[in-house]
Amino acid sequence: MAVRPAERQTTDNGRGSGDRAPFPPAPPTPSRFERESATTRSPWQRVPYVWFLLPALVGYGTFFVYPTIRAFYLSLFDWTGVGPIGDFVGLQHFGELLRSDRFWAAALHSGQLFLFIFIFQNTVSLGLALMLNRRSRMTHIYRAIIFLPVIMSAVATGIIWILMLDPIIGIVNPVLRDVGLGWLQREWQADQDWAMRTVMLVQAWQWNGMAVVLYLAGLQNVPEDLKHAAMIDGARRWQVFRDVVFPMLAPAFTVVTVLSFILIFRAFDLIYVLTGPLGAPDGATLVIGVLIYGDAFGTSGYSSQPHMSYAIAEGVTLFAFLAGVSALLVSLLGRREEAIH
Amino acid sequence: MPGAPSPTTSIPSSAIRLSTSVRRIAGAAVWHGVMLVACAFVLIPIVMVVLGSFKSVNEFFASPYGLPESFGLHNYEKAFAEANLPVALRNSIISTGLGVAISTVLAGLAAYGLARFRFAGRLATRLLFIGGLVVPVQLIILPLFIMFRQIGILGDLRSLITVYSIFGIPLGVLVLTGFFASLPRDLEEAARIDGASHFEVFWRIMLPLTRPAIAAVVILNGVWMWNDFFLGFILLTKPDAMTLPVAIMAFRGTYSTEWGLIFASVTVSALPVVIAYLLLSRQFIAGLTAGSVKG
Repeated sequence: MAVRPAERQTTDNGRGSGDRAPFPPAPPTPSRFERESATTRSPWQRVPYVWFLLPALVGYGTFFVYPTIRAFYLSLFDWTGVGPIGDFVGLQHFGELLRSDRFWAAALHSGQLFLFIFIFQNTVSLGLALMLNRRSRMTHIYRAIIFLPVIMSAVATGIIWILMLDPIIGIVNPVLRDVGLGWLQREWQADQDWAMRTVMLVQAWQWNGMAVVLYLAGLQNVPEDLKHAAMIDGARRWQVFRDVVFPMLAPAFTVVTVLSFILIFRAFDLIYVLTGPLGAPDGATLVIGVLIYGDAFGTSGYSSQPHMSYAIAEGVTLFAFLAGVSALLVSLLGRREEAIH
Repeated sequence: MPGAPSPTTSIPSSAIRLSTSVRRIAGAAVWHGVMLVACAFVLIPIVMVVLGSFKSVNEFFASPYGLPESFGLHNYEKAFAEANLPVALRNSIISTGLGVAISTVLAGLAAYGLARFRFAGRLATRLLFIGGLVVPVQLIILPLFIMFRQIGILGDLRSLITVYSIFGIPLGVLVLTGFFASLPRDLEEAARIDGASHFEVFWRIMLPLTRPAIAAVVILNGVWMWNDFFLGFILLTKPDAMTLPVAIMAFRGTYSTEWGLIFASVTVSALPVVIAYLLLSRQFIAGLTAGSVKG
């Protein structure tokens, strides 16, 4: 429903401009003669791709590239975010944040979260994908249900789990008691040790379907003959998986790993909804994405003063880390894919 | 059956057949069992919230796990009146609709330019667009926040529409460039010889062929814009500009004990995407994974 009108708008926009003013605007369709003599054409006609790239480049340059560059510049100044920009301080903010315990605590939490999601996706999600890779009338229905959380908003997901885990009206504790795991019952979100694990599990709930579907797409590229040949040669199921199927999944593994790396280290929405701007309880669930927000707008409690340029320095650090590690992952995992094939 | 099989061979073979079919049934049972458990993990939390959206405050404490006493729309009516849901719904539709439309047009044109023409700096331009995918929103939103404050659109819907229209470009370029590049060149050359302009070739010939990829981009960007909380939360300070996720969180801050109203708002916000997903689940799954597979 949300898709249709947007699609139609796209069409109308384009057609409107196409009918009224041809795009590129000025030149009428050149006759064969004109096209042959390139010298008579305006410079714009000789570079037709400019017309296609210009609108996006202008918008993207103004509202994406420029602010990104500006962020690097602002990180070198002392500025709270309002009033005139303060003194040039060079790399002082970067030194400060590298010495900050909160920064490293948040980085550690983000790292733990990624590690957990990585393990989860390569055990539970991969297992579900392997099981779903068979023909049955129900396969599509199961797949559609398992994917469902991916399309839910972080606000919806967060509120769903706040209800589930609530000590008074949630059903997680009573269900645990009924299946004989009563010792696991606790106040999930208030427990210093379990708050972060709870965040991890909710995050896994939301993103499991993505990994399942990506692995499933990879599995459908594994030729059946290859598996049969290995079986006939006397390989066991586990050996077939390890030596035939898993290597063929290398491209899917790359995608799942890089995607979840970027998603987890930028994460804000779900964790903010679950545990608020301070990473309750007592910073136990504070991650990088939420830390930057708190420092920029002064809701961090640690220092209620907003410190925009310091937060921007944290953002720049995160960007450098994301870009560097993503590039490393892509090249390492890409080499692994090539080595396998 | 001509020639009855000798008893010595028939008994073991039917026994084998029996044991394999037993094994197959057992295997199928285990398979369905595991799948049903996985589906239960997904569906039970969602169902609990939908059920909760029909309960009164007292019912939550009287029977937190039971069915609501009635499926009356009391909470929904109250949420529409008190949580400013109609305005939030309208804002979400406008910002997502315009964001998807503008970013798709910009990305489509740029992707075509990148895929069908050869020129110096082509790879660098493509990298510039696609590199946007690793820029953390937390970084870029801070200078943008300052910029919007200076030009005076901070706080209202225009700032969010601008951001959505631009932030949708990297994924759009990523998916569409690959698709445009895969189309055969002959088509384009034939049309050019017939006197079609570059834009006519793009609009009349290439665009209709890329419909599946455009659908993927629309779904991909549409879902994240509709669901986005962070950007709206930072940029929309005026209450009558809030989108659904922002309004729900603001509402939750003031009425934290009104569970029923919060769940009703959440259900309303998720409903359009879930309905679209139920109707087009294959396109959704293909679309939401298209960007990642190509990347």
